[in-house]
Amino acid sequence: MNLPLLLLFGFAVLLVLLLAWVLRDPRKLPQTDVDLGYAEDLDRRHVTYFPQVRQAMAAEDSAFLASRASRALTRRVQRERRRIALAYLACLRGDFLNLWRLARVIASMAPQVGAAQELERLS
Amino acid sequence: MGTLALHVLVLWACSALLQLITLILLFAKGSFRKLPFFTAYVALNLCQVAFLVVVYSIWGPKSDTTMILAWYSECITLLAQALATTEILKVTLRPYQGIWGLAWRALAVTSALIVLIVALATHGDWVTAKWFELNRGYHLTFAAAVIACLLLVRYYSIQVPAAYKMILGGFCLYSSTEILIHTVLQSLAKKAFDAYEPFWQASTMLSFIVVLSIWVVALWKPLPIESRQAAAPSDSIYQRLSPEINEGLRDLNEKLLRLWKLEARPQ
Repeated sequence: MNLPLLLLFGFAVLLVLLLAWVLRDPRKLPQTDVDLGYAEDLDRRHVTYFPQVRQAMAAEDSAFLASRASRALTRRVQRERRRIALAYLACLRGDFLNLWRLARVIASMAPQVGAAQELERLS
Repeated sequence: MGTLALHVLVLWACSALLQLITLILLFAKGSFRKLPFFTAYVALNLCQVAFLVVVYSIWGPKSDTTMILAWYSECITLLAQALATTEILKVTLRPYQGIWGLAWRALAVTSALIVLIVALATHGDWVTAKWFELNRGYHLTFAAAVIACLLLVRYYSIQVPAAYKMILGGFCLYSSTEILIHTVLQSLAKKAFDAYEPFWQASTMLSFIVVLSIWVVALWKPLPIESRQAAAPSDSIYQRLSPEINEGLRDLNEKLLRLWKLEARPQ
């Protein structure tokens, strides 16, 4: 089998796999009714607490703590901070997914959709 | 007809029977009103069967005239297939004008791209197997374009009724298996196509029978009533909110990167 035929064969298999994927029911169907209320809350999101979390993660803070407190306490604080940072990351992810979903719902209901606008979100 | 293998004839009869059942279901359930092009496609396929029976009886399956007439009749059904698919996509996306506009552009771009790839990939033996190459090129373009549209539908979480999904899936499945069969056959048969002809006939017909069975299941119940018109916000809402949301997403992305850098910095 030469290269073009191999590519064609691979492409056909890819098409079958993609077909199976697009036709399968998504596990969690997003709500179809647009929650425009969320658009009003754009400024009240977890991202607004970013400066505080960033401050808590600052190396200067850790250095200061290490110079004053015991090693055990420093470790415990580091652990706690890491846990908080991870929880905060999950919240930011939630913010991101909500915004993304909202953008798709608005686009799906708009009478005209700009390809450039939509591609911008994917880049 | 005598020189066709018995199993090919049996498959042919099964295919004709299933096409007839599909057509009866389309009329009995009133679905032909919603999908006139799809109904025409099924009817044309059935007419093609009758036409081929006549052609095979007069000239025999090995004659050049039979081959040319059979491929010309195939061109007509392939055109009808494209129209039927566009009709189903249009029915599905009718309440979503913006997405339909985007889907049209996606169809055009994907088709142009695939036609170019096919032309490049099949340049070497364009003359020897013209009809097979054309047929495979068509199915490749068709399947890729429909899957591009289905990806778009999935991305925007648009609910597609199961019956339409099954019909579209059937079309894509048939096209994909045609590409696979043609490619495998081309690599195996090379110049001795005659030896593999019964395999080609049986496998393509078998895949079409599978697709027809899927369609029979899909059309067993009447097609769903027109989905409710999506409450379309004015164009200005999209124009205002979409850049705002994109900006929000970019901002979040930057913040996540900063947090990542902060976390990754050696302590």
